[in-house]
Amino acid sequence: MNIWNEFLSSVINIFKTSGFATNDWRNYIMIGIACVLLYLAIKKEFEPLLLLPIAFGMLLVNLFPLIMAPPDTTLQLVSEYMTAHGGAAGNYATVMLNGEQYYQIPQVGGLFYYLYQGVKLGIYPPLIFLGIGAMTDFGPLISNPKSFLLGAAAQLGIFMTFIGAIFLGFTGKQAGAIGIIGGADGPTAIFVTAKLAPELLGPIAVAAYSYMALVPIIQPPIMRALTTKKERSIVMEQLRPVSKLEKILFPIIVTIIVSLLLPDACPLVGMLMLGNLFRESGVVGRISNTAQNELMNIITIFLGVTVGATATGEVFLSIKTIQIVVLGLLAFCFGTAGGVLFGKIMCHATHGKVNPLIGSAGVSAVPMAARVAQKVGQEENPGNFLLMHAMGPNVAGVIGSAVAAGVLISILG
Amino acid sequence: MSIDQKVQLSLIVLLTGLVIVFAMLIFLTYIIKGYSATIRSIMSKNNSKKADTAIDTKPEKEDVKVNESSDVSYEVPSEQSTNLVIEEGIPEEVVAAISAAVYTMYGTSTNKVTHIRRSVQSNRSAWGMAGLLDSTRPILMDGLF
Repeated sequence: MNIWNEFLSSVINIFKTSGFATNDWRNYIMIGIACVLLYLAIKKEFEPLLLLPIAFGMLLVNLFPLIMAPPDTTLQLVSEYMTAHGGAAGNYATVMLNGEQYYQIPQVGGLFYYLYQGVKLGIYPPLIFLGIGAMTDFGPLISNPKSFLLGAAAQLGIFMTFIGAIFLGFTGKQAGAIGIIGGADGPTAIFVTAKLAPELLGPIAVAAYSYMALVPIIQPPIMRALTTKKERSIVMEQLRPVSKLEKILFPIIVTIIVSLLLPDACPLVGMLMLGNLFRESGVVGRISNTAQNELMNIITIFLGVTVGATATGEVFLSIKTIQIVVLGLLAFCFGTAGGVLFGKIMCHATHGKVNPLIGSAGVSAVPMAARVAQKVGQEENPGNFLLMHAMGPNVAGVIGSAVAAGVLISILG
Repeated sequence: MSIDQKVQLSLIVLLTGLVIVFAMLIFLTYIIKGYSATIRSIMSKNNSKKADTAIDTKPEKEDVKVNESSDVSYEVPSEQSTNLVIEEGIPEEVVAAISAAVYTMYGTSTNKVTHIRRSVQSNRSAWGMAGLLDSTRPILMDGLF
């Protein structure tokens, strides 16, 4: 009978510590959301490289919340400890409570807690930028530096969304973190949010990456609404070839100027340009390959799962998340509109030499936004190839959003 | 936060943000234009110097014919052979573009295009061309940010 009771007691204890007993209804809703995101990543291929790890991190943290638990200290009676360890004394600090001596036994944190330090301390986003820099050809931007203006105009979404967030009741720091979704640049959004409003990291990361995946759906209607058929049909002049020396000097000059003028943007822009210098210098092929392959992939896994792991039911299922999702959509729309409208201004200023559609690529989301510009342009004129023209504003948008991030951190941080 | 404070903060961030982002990127635009122009002028000077040297040191006749299954034949001609033979119907812009491409690839000004003629149309289908474009696209990124 005693054995049966012990057996039952053990089974009940195991059930009490299982997810069925410890998780609440919000965790189960989040598990459902995670499964939907996994479906979108795998079946629909919506930004799978990041959405898949994000969704799985979300799944794991809602199945086992302690995977994100910080390290803790538990108290155990010294006598109890010694009994359990055959009389051996522990090598722990002691504390006296109610006349009894306790050991302070440190408990390690959950796996994701430690991996998350790379996000919290702002390490992963700049490393991702290193890889992006190593993969990016800034030639179209160097060839046509006016593209920088389109990259700047498309940052309008960030600041307009900031205003919307402020009036919805978010604090200044939270509004800054929400606004940066408009930069359409995942690492930048995570970098800024980890600094300004870490409590919103989960919803902001999910919104940012989801909308980036939806760029081909969000942008075209705005682009068509703001341009005429004639403007969309404009064929742009061939870009001039860019010499190797120009490509090598570009990252050095941009780093020096941006870091001196806006130090808060230095970690992002500096690492982006370092990666690009690896690529363009041509003397560190191995490092360049590592930056754009192995390192990038490892950081992508860590960043994805840990950002997903911030989306616990308790944090994610709130009215704030819905507001962030709506504001994120507005940010993308304003950013696209800002770029296209500035493209129209450039079109008029150059007497029809600039196709305004390339302005939409200024929102970053490399290279998806540039491909959208190409696709919409070809709908009007199948012989029109805007891709390389759109890559200029596209990569300018990366620099622009990093600069905007620096501005937000500088003002609000 | 009162409404006044919200309006004030919004305007500060909007104005500061847009002005700094535009100022920074406009500044970068001019810097890049400046250094690009400088580099190109230095390179063109160097090229013309090299060309002068080459003309001085290589007056003798070479008659190397290159035809890499393209539309263009170019020769390193003697000083006397200056006539360019162009097939009828090829516009001047195309001639200029081909000459520029040959010059960019092969560098020395002693080389010049002597014949331009149409080759047989490639058998590659539209899908094949799309595949070629896709695999030779210089941006090899996969939507990571």
